Parts: sequence; structure tokens; C-alpha cells
Amino acid sequence: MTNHKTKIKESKSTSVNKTPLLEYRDVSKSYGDKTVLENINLKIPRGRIVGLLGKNGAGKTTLIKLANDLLQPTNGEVLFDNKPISIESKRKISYLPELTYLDKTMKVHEAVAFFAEFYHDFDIDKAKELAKILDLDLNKKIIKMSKGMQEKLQLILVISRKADLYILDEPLGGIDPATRDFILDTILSNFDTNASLLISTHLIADIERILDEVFFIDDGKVVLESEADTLRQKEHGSIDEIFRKRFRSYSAMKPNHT
Amino acid sequence: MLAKLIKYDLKYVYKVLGIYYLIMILGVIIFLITDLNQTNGIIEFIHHFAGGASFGLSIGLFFNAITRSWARFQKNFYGDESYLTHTLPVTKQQLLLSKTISSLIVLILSLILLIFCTIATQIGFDTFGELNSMLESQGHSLFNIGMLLFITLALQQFFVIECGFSGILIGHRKNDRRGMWSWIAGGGIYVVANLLIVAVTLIWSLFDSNVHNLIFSDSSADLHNIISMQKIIVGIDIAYFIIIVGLYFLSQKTLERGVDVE
Repeated sequence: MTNHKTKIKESKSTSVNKTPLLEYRDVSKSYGDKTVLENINLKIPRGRIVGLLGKNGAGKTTLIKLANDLLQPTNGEVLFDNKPISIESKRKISYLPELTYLDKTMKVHEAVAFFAEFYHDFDIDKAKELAKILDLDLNKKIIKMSKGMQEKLQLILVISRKADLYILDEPLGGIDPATRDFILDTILSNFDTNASLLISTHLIADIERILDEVFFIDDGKVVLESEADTLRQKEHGSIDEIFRKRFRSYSAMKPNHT
Repeated sequence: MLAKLIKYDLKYVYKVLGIYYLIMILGVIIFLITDLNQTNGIIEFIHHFAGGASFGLSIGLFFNAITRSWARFQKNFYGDESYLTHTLPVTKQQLLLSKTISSLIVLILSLILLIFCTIATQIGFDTFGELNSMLESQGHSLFNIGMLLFITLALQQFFVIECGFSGILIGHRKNDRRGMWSWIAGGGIYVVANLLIVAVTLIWSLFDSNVHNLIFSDSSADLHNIISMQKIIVGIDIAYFIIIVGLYFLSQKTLERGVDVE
């Protein structure tokens, strides 16, 4: 793991292009009177592993959906490689949502074939190899698989692409604790080291060891952004501890609306 | 990419519909085979059961084709599968076109099967031949009339499907009760479009005496005027076609404004 993270850092140090890969400019999202995201300004750099951390309902998934053309901002704009979200960005972003988005009547090998047909950067041999490693039966119907197995399949499909940006929304949510480390190692071992990785999660302790940068989001606002190592040194604790302390204090500060 | 989208749409639909088709065709075959020997009571029962079941299934198939198209559209564009649909490297136009074309293919195939089933089990091929001879003796063609009715039926039902698609897209622009608003929008479009067609037909009747007589006359001679009937049907078909094209572009404009997937 340490060797891999070092390898990632070395490849990033040679990165020349300073334009953020993904950028949110003054982005707000409301549903009627309800504001879900407020004036978000956020940049995801190239070749970095970024953690989007927050409690449930903070706005992490909304932020991610905006980058994937699943939602439209009420205000502001979301840019990929300095251009609006389009087919071009979809060719370069590999997205793992929180839910099962595959046609459940498909078998595993049919889902693999589907991805190979639509994504030119999809490595079918890698996908089959990962399926074997993660013990997925290629001839099994998705509907007959457990939720954990379905999530593993989707993860395989996503990381078998050679994308510029991988966006993983709660990739460990449905995975048992014993398998989480294995999944995390699988993600790191198989994603393109020149790419960026944006992971949204509330299971911070499990993923913080791989993070380069962190964004804390609460109530639809970015409340902290920092290099992970800098934050640990400054606050003398793990990201998980800092998060718990920060949001415990925020909870205490917020006015009681009841 | 469009061909791939259509392929997967048809694959999904025919996983279930294919079985439906097979059962219907089997029923028709059994009906025709048992028609040759009805002396046995059991065979006679099987004959009538197979005929009735096939015909009943064919009617159900027709509605199934429409509702399945709507359900697939809603699921792909706004359900869990929308997370895959809208992140594929394809345009919104391609997504909409694939649903439109695949629905049309399913509708036409289902209609062909319905007509075949109806002729085989309810009308009979012999009666069909007699009808053809009678029409030919009056200078008409059963094939032409049949084709016209087929096109009319297909257009009318495709119009219903397009109303559903447009209704779903418009209804999902709302933040709440999207299902309800989809039904209201789709139903509203259906009613307004049909009223428009009635209005256009009535205006047409002011300028064309044959059309006027067909609509308002009590005379059986006018009602049996097949030429006038064909003229009205062609006119209504053109109207439906224009409305379908209009609905398609309305759907496209709505979709291009972006989706808000829950």
C-alpha cells in the first residue's frame, strides 16, 4: 500500500497541467424552497485522490450527480477540463453511484459486454480477471446476487475503465468490514495513477490512509478543504478524529430549530 | 451508438415479450391443427380454448407493448437505471430516438401478431378470402384497405406511446409528485391532440362535401362510400403523423434542458 501511494505521489509530481480536472463554480442547487447546495466552489486537481467527506444528507451525492449530468445546477456551473459537462466528459469520467444501476435481468458477463460496447476505454480482460478475484460468477444473473456482490460488480465495471476521473460514491457502504481493505487495495491497484479519484464517504477511517486532499461538506456547504497530511499535522489527529470533533462542535453550535 | 441503444432496448423488452409471442403463436398453431378434427370432445375443447386464449393474449399484448414502453422509458430516464443511462457517452437525442424507434418496432411486431391471431382464430382464412373477392368485385383492394387500417392503428397507438413519453419528461420537471404530473401531462396532451384532430376534421368537412356527408349524413349510401372513408382516414393519419413528430420534438427540447434524477 505504501509503495503504491508513493508511486502515485511520484507520478503526480511530474504533472504539468494545472487546470483543475473538475470544477464547481458558484454552484447552488435547490428544490423549490429547499436549498441542498449553496455557493459551492471546489476544484478537483489532476492526479489526486480526493475525499468528499460529510455526514448523511450533507450534499455529497448531490455534488457528485451534478458532475455526472444527473442533476442541473440552479445556479453556477460545473466544468470538466474547463468545459461544460457533455459527452466528452462522460467518456472520461467513470462513475460508481451508491445504488445498483444495472439492468438486473442481465447476467454478469452481459453487463461486462455492455460496458465494453459503450466505453472504448473499457478493459474487458481486466474486468474478467477482477471478477475472478472477487469471486463473481460470470453466468449469474444480477438479480440473484446479494447487494454486496452487486456493488463489487459495479466497482469492477467502473475501475476497469481507463478514465481521467473516477468518481466513487460510497464505494464501501454495502461491503462488510472484513472486505473493505481488500476492496480499497483493489481500487488503488487498478485505477490509472495519472487519473484523479474522487471518493465520497462517511466511513472516513477506512479510506483516509489513501487520501491526498479532503473536503468536508456540511448542510450543502464546503466547510473545510485541505491537504490530508497538512490537516493531520495541524490538528494532531487522524482525519476521522478531526471530522468527528469538527462536526460534534458544529452540532453544538447550530441553533436548535425544534 | 444509436444501434447499440436500440439493441439493448429490444433485448430487454423481448426477454418477456418474446415468451408472450411464443405462447400466442403456439395457441394459434394448436387452434389451426385442432380445427382439422373436431369430432372428439376434448379436441374441440382444446380448439376453442386455444383460439380464445390466443386472441385474448393478443389483445393483452397490444396494451402490454404500450405500457412496457412507458415503464422502460421511466425506469431508464428517471429510475435507478437512469444513473447508467445519463452517464453513457451518448447524446440526449440518441437516448430519446432509441426509445422511440424500439417502441415503434415492438408496436408494429405486436400489431402484426395481433392481426394474424385475429384472422386465424376469429375471422378465419376462408372468410378472409371471401371478403377479398367481394371487395375486388367492387373495384377495391383488401390489401390497400388492410394496409390503411394497419397504418392507422399503428399511428394511433404510437401517438399514445409518444403522449406517455412527453408526459413523463414534462412531469419529471416537477420536484414533487412526478408520477402524478406525468399522468396529468400525458393525459392532457392526449386529450388536446385528439380535440385538435376532431376540430381539423370538422373544418375540413366545411370544404369537402364527401367528408361532410360521411360525418353528418344518415344515408347508408354515404356511409358505404369507401372512397370517402379512405380519404378521411388518410387525412387523420397525416394529422396523427404531424402530431407525433411535434411530440417528439417537444420531448427532445424538454430532455435537452437536462434531467433531475432523484
